[in-house]
Amino acid sequence: MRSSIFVIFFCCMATSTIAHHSTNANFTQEIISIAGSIERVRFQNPHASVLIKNIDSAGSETFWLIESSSRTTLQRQGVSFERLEVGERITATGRKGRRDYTMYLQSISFEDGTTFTPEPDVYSNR
Amino acid sequence: MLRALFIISASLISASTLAIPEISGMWLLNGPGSESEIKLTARGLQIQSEYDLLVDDPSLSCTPASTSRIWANPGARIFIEQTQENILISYELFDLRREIPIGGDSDFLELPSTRNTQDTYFAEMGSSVARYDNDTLIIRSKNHSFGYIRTSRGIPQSENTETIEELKIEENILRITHTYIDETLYEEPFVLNYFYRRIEETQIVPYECTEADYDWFNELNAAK
Repeated sequence: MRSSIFVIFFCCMATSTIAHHSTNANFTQEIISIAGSIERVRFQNPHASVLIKNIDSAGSETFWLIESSSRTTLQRQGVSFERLEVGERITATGRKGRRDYTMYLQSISFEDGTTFTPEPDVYSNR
Repeated sequence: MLRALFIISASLISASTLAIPEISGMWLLNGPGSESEIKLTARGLQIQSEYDLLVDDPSLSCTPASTSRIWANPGARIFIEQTQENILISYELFDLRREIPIGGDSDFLELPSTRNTQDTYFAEMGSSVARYDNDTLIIRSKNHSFGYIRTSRGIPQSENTETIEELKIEENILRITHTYIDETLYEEPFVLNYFYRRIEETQIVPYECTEADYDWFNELNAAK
């Protein structure tokens, strides 16, 4: 089930990512990966997002806001965030934000090895 | 004689009707568009240099930064209706509804032409009137409030800004040439081009924008 959800997500996101704010302006080209547990899932406009809590080797906690496309776009593609459960451990990869501890989502890996990889905004020069 | 006059009148009306572009329907941005070189005045450059996109982007509060910003949003549907009196444009983004009278200078309204579905008006998109010029729909706008034509780069507009939107169908593609004129901000008019493809869907769904409040997030990390 998980695989099918994200295969659909991956296929559909390639051509129609809504960007409320400009992706290229708000996020760098630097690709980073952050592992953590899901603290909050927000399925809304203008950006769906996932808040994760990362704990480093020293035990220090940092919250990361992983932003994605809009609820409207996701719904049109039949994609739901219902699969993402608070407490679940994931590794998120994407473009590092200019705002501290933010990222524009490129992929999420789950502990069972499944992933999905949406493409970045293609019309970001606004 | 009367018959001849009728035929001539009917022919003129028919020709006029034929010339009006058929732009009613649902449209979706088709590609990134293009723009002319922007040459800002000293005042324009100063405003741009002070712009912080993480703080100053009106989009963060679900506010249209400018008409340009609303036209140029990929994936958000735009529904256009042509009536005899008005051009009605529904922008899915931010639930905006723009009502533009067809007419001349005397038809500019004091109220902005754009409001959202909660009846909040947005002067950032100005007050507009429309007319047809052969196969082109021309929308002129003025009475703007301060805003940003390009939120990614902080290119401003001001109360002095006037704009011209030229809408034309070219091979089933809606082309909009959008010219910004403001001698206080631009050394020469700033021209943008957008392209849209027609889509079959007929429904604009409520956008229900949520303000991008990052304070709660910043507080999470500050509290560590």
